[in-house]
Amino acid sequence: MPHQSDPELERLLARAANRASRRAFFIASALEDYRKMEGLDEAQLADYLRCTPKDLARLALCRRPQSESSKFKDEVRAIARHTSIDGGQLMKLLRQVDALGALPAGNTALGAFMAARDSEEEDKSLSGTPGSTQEPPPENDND
Amino acid sequence: MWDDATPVEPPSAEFDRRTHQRLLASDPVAPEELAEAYLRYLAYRLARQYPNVDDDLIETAVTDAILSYAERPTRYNPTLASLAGYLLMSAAGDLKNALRRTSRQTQFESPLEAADVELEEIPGNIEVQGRQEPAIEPDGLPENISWKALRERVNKEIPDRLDRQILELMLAGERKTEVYAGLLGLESLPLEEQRRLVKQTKDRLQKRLERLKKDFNAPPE
Repeated sequence: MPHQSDPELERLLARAANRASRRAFFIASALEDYRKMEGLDEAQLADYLRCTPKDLARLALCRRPQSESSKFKDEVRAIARHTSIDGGQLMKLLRQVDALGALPAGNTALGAFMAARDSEEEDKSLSGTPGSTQEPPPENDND
Repeated sequence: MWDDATPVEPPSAEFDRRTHQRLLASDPVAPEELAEAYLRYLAYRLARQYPNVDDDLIETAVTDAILSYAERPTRYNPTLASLAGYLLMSAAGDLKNALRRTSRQTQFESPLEAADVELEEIPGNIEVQGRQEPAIEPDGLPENISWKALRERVNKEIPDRLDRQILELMLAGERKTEVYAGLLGLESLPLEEQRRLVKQTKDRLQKRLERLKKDFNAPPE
């Protein structure tokens, strides 16, 4: 969904996104974890999600979908539509961060590998052009 | 920067109702829409309530109030206050906590001190120790109680700044519902609802005031 340019509001949203990164409830926390894990700056993270830094702030303020939830894919799709980011990339990011969070310290590489492998098929179905709103095919997996 | 900001209107009551329902239903996008709709409005309103406080602290308090509500929407009861009023009160609470934590509370005047300037305009004010103090007869203070003591006691008993602002208006004889509704952020509600909520707030504060007066009149232990 395109948003009109409003520098003051963008500044307030960016600030709120920053505060939200301290709360596990918001996607901001997962973005921050991923950014640190991969050593990315904000622009690189935006590139990864195929969006602009402005979209990133809006994304950060959405509720963080839980990868174990049956609603996970639907919620990622809804967020992707709303914020013009790549749903497949977001799904991969969230799964990776969740997998790492569940592992004891020291097993980060293994966790990242497992998360990437587990979600490979779904990523293909959700990834598209930047900001794509295309719907993936019907799901018949068991997660 | 919020000092000279253009007045900002609150979102509609319909937006509030819908957003609250969506938050309760864990809609993942609702928190973002809430922030987008309320950040600027709350920053503007809170800055007007606390004109001497840094914009930085104002914006942090507003942000935290929005994020907290998005995370725990059940804490808000729509039958008791408008969403704008609730968020404003929550932000004011966060701001006061931040000011206490950073020991910067002295940078802004307490509401009753600030009100002294306005009270000079009210007919019937009296001079106490070189300061203009409001005459609140016939329900006035006992002779042995100073206005300073009252101020300290009121600030302790009624810690919420918004409550004290409303109390000041009551003491100043303000009767217009719209003035109280504006302060409480109820403007977007129907007039009858505004009247009901304003009366509810004033009754609650009146009871606290009565309790305070009783305490002052009680013989020392």
